[in-house]
Amino acid sequence: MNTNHLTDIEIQQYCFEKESCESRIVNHIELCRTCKERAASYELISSEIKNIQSPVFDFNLAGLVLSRIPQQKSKFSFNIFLVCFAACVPVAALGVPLFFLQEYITNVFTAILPPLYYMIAVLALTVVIFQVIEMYMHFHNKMSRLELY
Amino acid sequence: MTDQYQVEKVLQGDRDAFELVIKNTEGLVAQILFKMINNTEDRKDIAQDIYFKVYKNLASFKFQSKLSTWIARIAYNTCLNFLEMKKPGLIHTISIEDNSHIESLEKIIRTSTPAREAENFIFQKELSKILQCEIEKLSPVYKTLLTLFHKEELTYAEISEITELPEGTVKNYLFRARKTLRENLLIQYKKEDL
Repeated sequence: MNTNHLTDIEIQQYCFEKESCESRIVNHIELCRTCKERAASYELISSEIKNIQSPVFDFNLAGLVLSRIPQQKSKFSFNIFLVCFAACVPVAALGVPLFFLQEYITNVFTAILPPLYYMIAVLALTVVIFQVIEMYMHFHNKMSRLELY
Repeated sequence: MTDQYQVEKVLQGDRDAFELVIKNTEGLVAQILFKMINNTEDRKDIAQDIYFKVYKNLASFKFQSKLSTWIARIAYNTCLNFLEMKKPGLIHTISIEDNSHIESLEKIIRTSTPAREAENFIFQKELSKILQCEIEKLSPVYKTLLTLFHKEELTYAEISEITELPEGTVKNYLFRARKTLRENLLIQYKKEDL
């Protein structure tokens, strides 16, 4: 009977790294009852770990994650079509009457004094600037709310 | 469905594809989470956090590993960060075992017949239950490595990639974890027997 037993490393190598295990170790285990038993205990531990029931989440992980991920606009081409259509409608709505009433409208504008022109232009520009600032702040606020981190 | 196809679909905004990614990998993520985090509520938050990170960083995935391995790596790192944040130093509690104790125990096993009988008996008597109990007592890293190797049947290379530890260290930790587990099982049996 062999009294020089294998080390734990060698026994684990035999159990879990069979392809790189030295033939000396394999031969010893075949002949030595003690080492064979120790190897068997490791193999049993391994098989028992395999048999342990896998843990599962008790909630719908995919549902939770997806509900917090912002929806992406996947139909990009359709959106472009919508934007173009939405832009064309007011252009047509303004363009058609302008075309037919161009003489009358020209007369209306030529009758207004130049300082009044500038006042209207400045007023319109101010309103536009305020609108743009408001839109930007609104957009920024929305984006920060959507930001996940 | 290949990883590449799935990733492309998710990047195009396909939510169903991302749902499939979650369904395919949540088992592995659960294994890591359950071994590293004890609190149920924390696990719920961390699990969501992991997949937000996956979603956010998917464009940077270079297909140098399997998608599941990459996600498992994110899961492992997220758990480590959480543990570090909660209890700094907790994850580095892998101690080098008291070898004299192990050697003496092995001596007992080798020389005495009752010890050998005890060893045989323990592996028959509700082993699964005791084993689960003993696994829970191990450090989070040991538990995770044992599960990834024996339960998920991942290779050393894959575990090394997930944990960002060198392959040699993974082997060494696994060796120590199994040895500790075996010794603890024997001690546990002896206690019950007294």
